[in-house]
Amino acid sequence: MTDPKRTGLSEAEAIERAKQGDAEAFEVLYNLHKRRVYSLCLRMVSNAAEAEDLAQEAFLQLFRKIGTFRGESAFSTWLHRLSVNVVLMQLRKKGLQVVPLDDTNDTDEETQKRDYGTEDLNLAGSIDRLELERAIDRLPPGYRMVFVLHDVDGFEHNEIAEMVGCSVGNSKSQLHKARMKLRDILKSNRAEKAKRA
Amino acid sequence: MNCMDCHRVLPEMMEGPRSAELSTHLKSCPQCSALVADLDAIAREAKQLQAIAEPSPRVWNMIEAQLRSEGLIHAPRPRRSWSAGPGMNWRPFAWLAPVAAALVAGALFLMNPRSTTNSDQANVKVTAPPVTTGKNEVAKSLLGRPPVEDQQILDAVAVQAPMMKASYEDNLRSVNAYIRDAEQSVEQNPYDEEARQYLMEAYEQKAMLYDMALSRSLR
Repeated sequence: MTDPKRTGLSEAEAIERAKQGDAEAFEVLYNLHKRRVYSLCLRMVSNAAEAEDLAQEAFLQLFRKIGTFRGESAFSTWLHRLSVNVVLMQLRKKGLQVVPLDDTNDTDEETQKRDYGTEDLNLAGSIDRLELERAIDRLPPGYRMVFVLHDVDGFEHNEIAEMVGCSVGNSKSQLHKARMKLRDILKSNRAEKAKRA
Repeated sequence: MNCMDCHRVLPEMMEGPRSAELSTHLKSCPQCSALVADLDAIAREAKQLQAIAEPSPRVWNMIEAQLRSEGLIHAPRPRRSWSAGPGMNWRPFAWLAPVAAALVAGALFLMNPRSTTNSDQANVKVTAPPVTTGKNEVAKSLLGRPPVEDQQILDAVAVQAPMMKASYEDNLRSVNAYIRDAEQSVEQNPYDEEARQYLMEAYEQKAMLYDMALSRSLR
């Protein structure tokens, strides 16, 4: 959040001024939140131009509705919810299923069978950022959405459930499957590298 | 509790307190314990993923134009001329334009035309050295710049739009961290095209930031 002592304008003040149509206030709010919004969009669609269009739409919706913001939740949470909606609409337009509504706590028997064997490649303490970003890119949209919202952006399951329209149990199940899938991807990448070395 | 039971309860128990039964099983089962350690590591590393990607300046330009056309922005932007009066002299900051151009040129230089697979590397004539072999001179010169030029960018913004200075400061801090991370990736994997692309994008981000600050200074 912008330090009011350094700029003379806090986020709260920028919101009030934006409600009055102050151009600078809109820009302050945009600059405060653009990276987070754009990063969410980019992680979900993996295309910079499309992510920019989605981010633009999210901010436009936010600024059109800013007059109705009463501070019941944090401004950033409100904006993030709008962004998630914009992304979900885009994914649904493409016919991509984001979160299966009837998927609760199914056990993944295949994954369990794999894990009963000996695992030589431990991930703990050795995952680098680029490696993880690439692996996230390979997740199916449903897993990716819940993973990004929970593990990257820090939302709780009840918030995610409300945003994407599923149950809390479903959100937890999707998150677990996302992490399992990421583990598989990271381990298989490492096994490939070890073979080539 | 056996391994099947453990897998069944994990989705519910990964975040919250783990039952005594689960803890006992994890202590005695190396496979399940390794699995949980890996999942914890993934969750932990994900928290470190910063939101550093930055949209291009056109996004804000489009938003502003749309808001104005809808009448949501009421105050017109003051037009600043090149011969602005005291306190608004852009001339000391005009040298920043070639700096922004150099950042983009450096990024383009790093995008050398080689696009070989690992198996072709031995047979392909290298047209440009990998970034980290002896540290590419362009990248070096770009790296040598940040502290002084960043401060001068911030001084330019502080003169033209004091409210934006903290925001630019945060943005510069983030993009410099992004560049350092990207360089590390290239150092570890000098022939990895994606890592080089990543570094190029990092430089482009910084060039965009300079460009935005300049656009503001020259309005």
